[in-house]
Order: sequence, then C-alpha cells, then structure tokens
Amino acid sequence: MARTKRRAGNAALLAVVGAAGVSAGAPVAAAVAPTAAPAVQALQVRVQAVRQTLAAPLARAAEPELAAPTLAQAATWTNWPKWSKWSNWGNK
Amino acid sequence: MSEPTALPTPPAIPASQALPALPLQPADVWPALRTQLLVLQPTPFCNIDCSYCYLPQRNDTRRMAPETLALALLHLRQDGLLDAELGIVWHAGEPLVLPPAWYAIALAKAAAALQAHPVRVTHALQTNATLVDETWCRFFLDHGVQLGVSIDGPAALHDRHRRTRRGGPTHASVMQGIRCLQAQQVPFHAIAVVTAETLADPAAFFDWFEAQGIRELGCNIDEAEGAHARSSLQDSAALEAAHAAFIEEGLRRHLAGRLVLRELAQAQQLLAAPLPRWGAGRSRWPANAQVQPLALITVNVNGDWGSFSPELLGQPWPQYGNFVLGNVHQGGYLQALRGPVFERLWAGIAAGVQACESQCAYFEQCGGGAPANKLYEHGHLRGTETLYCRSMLQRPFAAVLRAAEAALR
Repeated sequence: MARTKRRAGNAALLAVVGAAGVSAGAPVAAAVAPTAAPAVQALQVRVQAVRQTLAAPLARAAEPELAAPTLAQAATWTNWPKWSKWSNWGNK
Repeated sequence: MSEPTALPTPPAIPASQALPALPLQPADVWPALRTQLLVLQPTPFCNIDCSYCYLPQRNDTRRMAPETLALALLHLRQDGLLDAELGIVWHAGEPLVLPPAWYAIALAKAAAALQAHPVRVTHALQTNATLVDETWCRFFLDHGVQLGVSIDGPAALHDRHRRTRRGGPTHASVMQGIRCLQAQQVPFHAIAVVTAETLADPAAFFDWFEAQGIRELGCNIDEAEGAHARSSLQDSAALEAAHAAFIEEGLRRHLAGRLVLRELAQAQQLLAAPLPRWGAGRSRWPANAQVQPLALITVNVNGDWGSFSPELLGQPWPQYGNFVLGNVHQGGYLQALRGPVFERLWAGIAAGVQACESQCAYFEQCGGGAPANKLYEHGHLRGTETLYCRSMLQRPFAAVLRAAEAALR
C-alpha cells in the first residue's frame, strides 16, 4: 500500500516537474552554500527536496511505469526551440 | 537504489574576493569563452509602430551588407568562440521587410563562413507576421528556420499597442500571416507582450491562444527599456498580484497539456536540475548568458556589436558608449575585452551578479538577472531584483515549486 502510494506521488510529481532534463543519476542540486543568506538557503532546501524525490524513482530501472511518462514528457521539451531560452528579452 | 549524484561543492569565497579582476583575461574564464547566440540586425526598419518598442531608429531602411555578416562570423571562428552549436537570431527591426532572396544569400554566406568549423547552426527569426505569405513559408520550411510570431492575444489587447505607422490596427494582418503558417504547416511559437490590460482577464487571454491552435507561448512582460521609458506594470503592487494570478492560470493549462508556456517550461527545467556553472577569476556562478562575456553577441546593421543583454546595443548611455564594444569591420571580439567600455560594463555587471548572489533567493535558478532591466529600472548595473526578475523567473518558478511540493504531500 505504501509502495503504491509512493508511486502515485512520484508520478504526480513527475507530471508537475515534467522531468525536464532529468535522467537516472543526474545531478540533483548544487550544494547550498553555507555562507548563503537564510532566504537563499530556505528556497534551495525546498528545491533539493523536490529533486531528491524526483531523482530517486528515475534511478530505478525496475520501475518502468515511472520511466515511461518521463521519456514522453522529456520529448516535449526537446521540441521547444532551443534559442527561445534567450528570446525573452525586450518587448517584441 | 542509486543515490542521487550531487555536484561538487564550490569553495566558499568571501564576497569581497569573488569579483573578477580587470582586465578580463580570456584564460580567466571557465569554461572557455564561447558564443551561444549571435543576434543579427538585418535592418533596423520596422513596418509597424508598437507603442512599447525599445528599439531606436525604426525608420532606418539600411540593410546589413554581405561582408558585415561574413566578418561577424569570421571573427567568431578566428577568436575561437565557436562551440558545437550556434544560434543565429535575425532580429531588432522587422526581419521580413527584407525579401526571402536576401536571406537565401545571407544563410549561404553564413554557411560558407563557418564551413571549416564543425558547428551546427540554427537560424531563428522573430517576426510580426504581417508580411508572411506562401513564399516565406516555403523559405522557412526549406531552411529549417525556427520562427517566433509576436502577437499579444485577441484583437482588443493586441491593437492597443501594436499599431501600423499610421496608427491603425495590425491584428488582422498578423492573423492572416498566422493562418498562412498554419495552412503550410510551418512550426512556430508565439511571444506576447503582457501589459496591465492583459492581466485583467488571464483566462480570456489564454483561451484565445488555445482557440487559435497556438500551443507554444512565451509571455514577455511590458518592460521599461530604451525608447520605452515606462512599463504599464511598473510600481503597482496590485498589478504584481494580478501577474501572480496570471501565472497560476497559465500553470493550470500548462500542466493539463493545453498550452506550453515558455516561462513555466523553463521553471520546470530549473526545478529538475541545477544550472551549469561558469566563472571568471575565482567566482563560480550559475550560467546566465546575459551576464557572461561574449556568450551573446549582437551585431547591428553597420557592424557595431555589443554583448550581454541584446537590447542594450545602440541605446544612448554615454558612460557605456552606447554599449558598442567594437565594429566587425575593425577587428575581432576578443580585443574588445581590453577596451574601456567593456571594462566599465563588465565591472558593473559582475558587481550586479555578486549583489544578486548575496541577496536573492533565486540566484541558483537565475545567475544574476538581466543587465538591461537593472539599468533601466535602477539606473545602474549593480542592482539586484527587477520587475523582470519577479515576473519572468521568480513567480513562474515559485508556482512550479509549490505545485511540485503539493504533489509530494
């Protein structure tokens, strides 16, 4: 039951994050610098928590039902024009 | 189960030591200096007259000379700035006022100039679509040109700001171009400028794009830049709250697969994985092409060029020499790193990045903001958060993070 619930939760998370750029064993996060301001640390701790949850099921090849939507969603982002990540400057 | 792989922890550097030394030496930059995007201004001329346009000289009908284009690319090669991929964007004026035959020659020249180097070039073009016809569609398809169409949503929103030179509406002409693209199956995405009026009814705005079959959408905010001195969204807490609601409405549709919204797609990527690092001197910062020297190079119609935020080039700002770092007819890009304009500009931008690093919770997802917005909102480059930061990065990222956390519960 717990495993089923965990799988459902992971699938929901993948649906939100889109698994963009994530693959098994991918880097999870840059370590939060201990010198960073408290607000910086607080946000990055939240980010790391999501990434760690996200990366864990992807690293398990034994759970193909989780890997499948990941690949499908990743394909969406590869179709996005590469240059557009710099296209958001200025009023056009 | 494999343990998640953590990136190496960068050494903690006291803030006072992190600023790169001047003059910037190419060898001090890690990884090596590379140009990711070349913005070329085929002509400054634009056939319409949008009220929020930041570009000066939109009446200027000059065309970029073939030798200017060739030199812009030759210097990239000779200065060792080429990587495996290079994006070329034709922009900063309405590019389609020049005919397809002009671009056919230009693209061939670009290919010839880069022939000796194994680089994959992608051409992209941002247009108001009023001049799109079947000939253009064939050209886009034949040359694999990635296309962005500027349209602000339904006619009532669009025609408030995007006017003809005689003050008339342009929406019908744009839609005619879009219908032509759709009929010829030319892939494109839309970029809309979000003004105060857009935020009054986000659902109607997004509904309209869905109804037109336009699936990929970027939502630029109305920014105060250059010739456009004041944004309709500026200094209004109510409008910033309205923008947060706009993002939430967009996120619902994005997660349901009804639209692909650029800012939210970027936020998903930023949440999924950390940005790569780059550095100058001892600093190690998350990658942000707008603050990395020579990562973005913009060349205008006469060969003057600049770096960092593309919209800076040619804007009057005496301290920075109108942001002109050189001219491709007079030499390469690297030699400008020793020039006084570059040094002043880079000193300001680096200080601004360092300020973001020490103050902004989103620094790991951003890498130091947009210099152009800092300049026009704060009056200098050393500042931190801007309207652009809050609207284009922070709110989309926070919305996606909250949704992810909700899914975890």
